[in-house]
Order: sequence, then structure tokens, then C-alpha cells
Amino acid sequence: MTDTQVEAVVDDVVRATNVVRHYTLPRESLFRPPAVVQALNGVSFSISRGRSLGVVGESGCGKSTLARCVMALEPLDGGRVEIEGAHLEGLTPDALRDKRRDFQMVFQDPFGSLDPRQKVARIVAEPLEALENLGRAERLERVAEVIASVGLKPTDIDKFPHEFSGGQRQRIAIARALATRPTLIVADEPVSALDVSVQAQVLNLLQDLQDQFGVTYLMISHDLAVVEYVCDEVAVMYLGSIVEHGPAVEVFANPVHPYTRALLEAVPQLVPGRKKRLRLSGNVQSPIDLPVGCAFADRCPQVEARCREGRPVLEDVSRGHKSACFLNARQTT
Amino acid sequence: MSEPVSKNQLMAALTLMTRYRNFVIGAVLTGLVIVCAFLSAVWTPHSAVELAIRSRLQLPSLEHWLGTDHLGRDILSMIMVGAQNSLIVGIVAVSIGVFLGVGLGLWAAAKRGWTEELIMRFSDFTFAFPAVLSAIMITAILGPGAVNSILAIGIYNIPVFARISRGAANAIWSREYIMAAKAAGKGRFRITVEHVLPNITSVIVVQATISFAIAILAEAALSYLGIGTQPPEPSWGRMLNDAQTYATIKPYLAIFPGAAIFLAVLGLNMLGDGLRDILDPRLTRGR
Amino acid sequence: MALLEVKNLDVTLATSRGPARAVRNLSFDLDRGQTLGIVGESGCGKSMTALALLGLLPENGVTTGSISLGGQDLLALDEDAMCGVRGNRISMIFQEPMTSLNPLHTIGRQVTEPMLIHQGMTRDEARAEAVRLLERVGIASARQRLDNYPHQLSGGQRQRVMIAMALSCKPDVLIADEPTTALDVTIQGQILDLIADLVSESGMALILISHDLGVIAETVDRVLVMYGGAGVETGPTASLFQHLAHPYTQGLFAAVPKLGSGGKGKSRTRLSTIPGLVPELADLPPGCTFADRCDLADDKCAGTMPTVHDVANDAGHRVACLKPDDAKSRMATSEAGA
Repeated sequence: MTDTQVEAVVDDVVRATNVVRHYTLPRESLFRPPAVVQALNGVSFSISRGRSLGVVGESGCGKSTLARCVMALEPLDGGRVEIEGAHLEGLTPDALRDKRRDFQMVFQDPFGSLDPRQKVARIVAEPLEALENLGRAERLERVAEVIASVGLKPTDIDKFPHEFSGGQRQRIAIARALATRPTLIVADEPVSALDVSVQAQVLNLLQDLQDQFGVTYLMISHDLAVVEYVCDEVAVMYLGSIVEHGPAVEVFANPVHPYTRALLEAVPQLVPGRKKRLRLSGNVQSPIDLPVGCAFADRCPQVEARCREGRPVLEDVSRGHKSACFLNARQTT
Repeated sequence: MSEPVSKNQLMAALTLMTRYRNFVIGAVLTGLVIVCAFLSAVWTPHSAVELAIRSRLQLPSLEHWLGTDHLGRDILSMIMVGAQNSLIVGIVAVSIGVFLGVGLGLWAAAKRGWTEELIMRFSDFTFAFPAVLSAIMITAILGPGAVNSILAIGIYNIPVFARISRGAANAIWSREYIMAAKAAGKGRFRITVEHVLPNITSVIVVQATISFAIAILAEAALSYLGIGTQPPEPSWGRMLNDAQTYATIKPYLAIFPGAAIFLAVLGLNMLGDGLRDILDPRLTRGR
Repeated sequence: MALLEVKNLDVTLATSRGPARAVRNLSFDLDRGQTLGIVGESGCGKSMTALALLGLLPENGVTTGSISLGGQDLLALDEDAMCGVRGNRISMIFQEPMTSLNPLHTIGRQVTEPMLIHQGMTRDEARAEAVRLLERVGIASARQRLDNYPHQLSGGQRQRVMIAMALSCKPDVLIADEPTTALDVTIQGQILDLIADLVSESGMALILISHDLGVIAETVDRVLVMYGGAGVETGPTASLFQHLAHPYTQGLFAAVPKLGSGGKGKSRTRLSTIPGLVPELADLPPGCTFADRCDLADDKCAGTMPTVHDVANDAGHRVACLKPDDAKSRMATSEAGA
């Protein structure tokens, strides 16, 4: 990768370099090699302190795998992830556990991510229990503190998850992620299971928490508008690779990669009337047996012969705005 | 407008009653067995072991409520003491199954891979033999007797619980809150104890009541075959065996111990069904 | 008389917390070739309304009011007669293309089934018609696909098959309940285009149910906004999006993050939110269902049924609110301020 520009001292909270993750599917036949899902094919990015990166893409593009790899919940098949200066794969299990207090996760499903048999106090205290040596009183104090900061009532800690609505449950999940005062929070589709009016409350909360505690976010979402609203930077993924990456304002205003353009085009707007627009043909491809060339070539409206021969790499189109397409130069004009 | 609603409420209340009815009837029948067992430890109408040849083969009367057997023993007293026997067999055998089986099942689910494969293939192998058959094999090796039959039934229970808890645990392991616990830095052992086990207890409890019933049946069968509880200790199965000789002339001899087994097994099964309904999270915490 | 007329529809569910009015006093009508969008959040009664139209309510549900299709009262029909209506004169597309197809039956069998049942076609006729339908909904090599099983198709293709099935008996009314929610955004566009084309081609009426205001805005002529089981605002799409009249519609619209708003980069704008939670149906006030979350509400709102007003001078744009003028002036000031 050629994107090692030397800038002033950058304070990166997380830096992923060339992350590769392939899964081998169960063998279907004795005589054929098992299929390999190429979930991540060399993904690199970094997020500086107090900023947020949104990763967008459609199902199967590898965005959730990326989240789990950054969280060290899945092994890497190549590349490395560095959080607060430490290479995660080089750590011993104990050291990794210790390090986990710096990075926590918020999951998509507010119903599945809380143990139905535990009370809120215990759920929120879980990372504290595992990661910090706090006395009982201190722990309770910390729980009360984070419960208050996500806007729940102090009395809520004695209730079970099923007594709460989806939005409140997501607040509990966020409180749990905040408990160890992490510097990085990875949020995998944090609002996609919520109703619109509640989604807005949770998005505002995420913003407020960033203002208040200076946490860094890596947010995975399929909803472009949500990412535009919360994130400073955005990375667009297609079949295991980042195809465009840059400041959110810049990418949404001047998308360069044909896939980003198609994605933005496809989002229904709040303007009445049917719009005739360029629709992508074909289906979202499966990340099994990727073609040699650009992964998007089969669906790209501007495909050329060279697209099927080599794979384009991320290149700067303007300061901090990168796109992986052979036609970059033509798109920016 | 309000008419159909109240009718519906009535229906809802009725369904709730039927739902609990299983549990209530099951609990009463099981409770009866337990009361008999405890009571017989301190008091029985007559002695359950002393022979009284003079009053043998009597029909039910005020003196002997359920009559006497071919050796003149009071059948009611024997059934009461037999309940003790059945209870102990059930408790010990199910405990063996629960502790070892659930332990193995949880271990398999936590480790996956080779460990799981090995544990599960082993329990498939054990599972392939019917309860009574494997019990006969075990007693054939260890010799007949109450302790050995308990052991045999207990060993049979291990794969039953291993399979059911592995299945339930695997489902829990795929939940997002497990992922959250991993992200919180918890290891497999802590996750198993703190998240997996509490979430599969209802499944285990239900299976335990059903296994309890099967254990009582198995003990009766083993004693009937003469390789379970040995005389003079009363056992429902042996009472049936004894009664067989007189089946044509004194059929009631077989009816009462048979009814005791039937009611105990029915009670436990209904209790299991009732518990399953009550513990089903969809019914108690629907949104 | 309109093709489909729903009058004072009420659906009450018996729950463990007492009777819950899932749909209350809902009226709308729909003519051939018209498209109606029903929009609202979870528990607003939009899916219940669809199930009531099909006579598929859960066992603990009671329906009152009237639903008439071409002059025939559907609520008066018995189950056998309703079977003749369902899938024949009214058909439905569900949200989950993964679970709404039977995994054990071939595509061909599932697409031909309604035609064999309702239209008395022979197997060969039905198969030929199925090929034509699958081609129409954009499935390549349709003849081969007839022998495929659902798992051999992608999510978008499965939804196309569902649409083909729904169309097989040329229904008068097509109900699409969140037809694109489970699909990726680039596929969503294809499916919505397909549905819109089919409606204008065949002249059937469409009811599109969605939580996504964008999908509604682009696909239908008229919108019905539901909250807590009640219809709170209805009108032609253009008019409704231009003059948001009900406080709930206003709040919902403001809460949606909008693409291209510049977002965080320019200024740290907050999304406006509707305070409180999406309500439990059993706990709703007897008057306006939105009263306890509405910032314009006073004591009267919770106890009094809201009155229906015409909005501006747009034909058929109506709002059910006791304080339509307050809501209107609020929009005016916020627009002036923006």
C-alpha cells in the first residue's frame, strides 16, 4: 500500500494494516477443494483520537467481519491491528484481556446482546468484573455513573432486560461498552434494529458521549444517512475491500468510485415522486471465488477491459480522499 | 363491543388454567410419592417386611386397605416403603446424569472441534443401547443389587443430559451476549458458568423430571427381572414380579403397585410438561 | 364506489395485560390503479391492518367495522369463502423472502399452486403461466428456475418469486408489507421499480406498508400515517410531505437522518427526537394516541377523540388532531428559521 504519507505526529487510536480474513466452508465434495469465503482482502485504515469512521456496504461486504477482527474476536489470516500502540495479535491472552479495557463493542440486536437472565447492574458491570480490579462499592459507583450518562434512571439497574424497550436496551448495551472508559468503541449497526424516533435518540446519545468523553468510534452501518450524520470519515466496502475512503462530507458530496455513486443513488429520498435513476443491475455477489480483476466489474456501469485484468488499489483523488478505481481521474472532473 | 372482549379474556384465563393444570396435577402426584416416602420412614400402617403367613392374600379391608400379598405383608405399607426406594433411585440416578452429562455437554459446547466430536460420538455410542438393556449389561458385570441398578440407570442418563445440554448450550453460544462477554474479556469457563448454564437450566430441569420418571420405570423393570432391589427391601417392580404368580386368582396384587408406578411416572411427566410451559420465556416475557 | 373500502376498522387483541386496540377506527378507500402507503413505527397497527384485510388475524384478535371489496363485505365471509379471496383477489408480499417460501418445495410448485387452486388451470397451463410471470418479474432463465429450490436463489430473486406468486391470480389488491426491508439498498431500488411497473401495467391497487419514509415517498400516490393503531394523517404524497400537519408526522420526519444534509462535518447538528418510547398498545390513552409524547398536547388531548380537519386546500389531505393550527404554525416558524 502506498498511503504512508508522513504528516505531523498523528495520534491514532486504531490502525489496521492489510487485514485479511478468509473462512473455509465445510467441504461439499471429496473431490473438490472446499470453498473459501474471502471476507476481508487486505483492509487498511486508521482513526485518530476522538474521531469516528463509518464503514458502509451491503450484506456480505465484510464490514461486520472487520468489526470482529478489530475487536480481536476473530483471528486474522494476515495483516495486523494496532490499538493504542499495541499489536493485538502479538499479545498473550492475558495481556490481550487487559488491553480490552481500551476497546469495547456495541452490537446490533438490542434483544440478543443482553443476557435475559441477568439484571442490568450485572450486565453493565460485566467488563468491569473481568477487566478491572475494583471493589464492590467502586464498581457500583461506576455502574451508576455510566447508567446516568446514557440517560437511564438509577433504579433501572435492578430490572431485567425484558422490562425495557429496544431503544432503552441499546442504551444499556452502550453503558456496558462505556464502563471501562475505553478509548475506542466499535459499534456494529447500533441503530438498525430501532424505530426511527428512537434511532434518533440513540444517535444523539452517541454524539453526546463522544463530545463528553472523547471516545473514538468505528461504526458499521448499511445506512448511509446514519453514517453521514455520526461520522467524520467514511469507508465504503465492496466484497472484502475498501473501495473508497475519505472525509464523510467529501465522499457524500463528491463520490468517486462507481459503487459509491450507485449506493448513494439507490437510497430513497424524502421527496415525493418516482425517480428514474441508474439502477445497478445484478445481485450482490457472494465473496466466494472472487474474480481476478476489480470485484465490482460485473455490476459496474462503466466497466472497461482492464478492470477484469488487474485489481485497482486505493489512490488519492484529493487530500485524504482515496478511491480504488482505474477511472479515478475521469470521475473527479 | 365489550362482550366479545370479556369472552376472550375468559378464554385466555382458561388457556392459562389448562397450561398450569399440567403443572398442578403433576406436582400433586409427585408430592404424594414424596410424602409417602417420608412418612414411611417413620410410620407405616403395618410392617412392610415382617411376614404374617396367616393373613396372606387378603382382599382390601379396613385392616389392610390394599390387602396383603402372598407372604401376608400389607400392600399399602410396601408401596409406601417402595416409594422411598423409587425416590432414591430417581434422585441418585438423575443426579449422576445431570452432573456428569451436563458437565460433558457444556465442555463439548465450550471447546468445539475435536473435544466436542469425541464427547458426542461417545455418547451416541452409549445412547444406542436402550436403558434397560444397558442396565442389564452393567448389573451383569457388577452383580445385581440396588446400588448397581442405580449406577446403571445413572450411567444411562449421562449421554441423555450430555446431548441435550450440548444442543442447548450451542444455541446460547451463538447469541450476541456471548460475543459481548468475550469482548469484555471473559474466558470460556466464566462464560459457561455465568451465561450458558443459567440460560439452559430450564431445559435441564424439564429433562430431569422426565428422566426421573424413566429412572423409576427402569428400576421397576430391573427389580421385576430380579436384578434390581433385592429382598426383603420392598420395591414396586419386585411387587409386580411377586404378583405375577397369582395374577389369575388375585389380580389386585398387580394392580396396586402397577398403579403406583403409573401415577408416579404420569405425575413426573406432567410436572415436566408444566415446567416447560412455565419456564418457556416466550410465555412469561412476551413483549 | 371504490374498489376497497375500509370503514371504522377496529382490531382488538386479548393480551395478558388486557385488551389492546391494535387498530382503532381506521377508514380509508382505494381504487383500481391507486397506490396507498401506510407508514408508521413498530406497533402502530400497519401490519395488523394488512392481516385484517386478509382475514389472517391471530386467534386472540377481534375485528369490527367493515371491509368491503368490490361491494362484498369481507368481514361477513366465513373461512372457506375467505380462502377464495386470499391469494386470488387480494394477495400479499411479506417482508422476509427467506422464510415466506417453503424450503422443501420447488419454485415452480410454489408459483403454480395458487393458479391450480383458484383458477382451475391444468398443470401445463399453470407451468407456462409461471414461466411468463417469472420472466416478467425479471428472473433470468425462468424455465430452469422452476425446478430450483428457494435456497438456490439470492434474497432479491426470492422476493421476485414472491411477487410472481402474488401476481399469479391477477389480484385486485396487492399488499406489500415491508417488501424491501430485508434487502440490500441496491436491490431495494430494483424491487420497488418492479412493483411500481407492475401496478401501472395491471391496474391493480397497491397497499405498501413501510417504516421507511423514503420508500413511501418514491413509490405511492397517497400516504396514511399510523400511530398507536390510529390513522393520524392521510393525503396525497406530495401534499403530505409538503405540509406535515400532524405533530407525529412532523416529529417522524425530523427524526430521520437525511442523506446529503452535510451531517457532522459542517456543524454538529442534533437530530430532533420524539420524546418518550414507542408505546405499548395496552397502555394507550382513550383520546389521541400520541397525546403522551406530543409537545403540543394538553389535558384535553388524552381524553378526547381528535377531530378530523382538512389541511390547507389540498384535496383529501386530512389530519386527526385537536390542535392542527398550533402544529401548522410551528412548522411555519421552523421553516422560516431554517
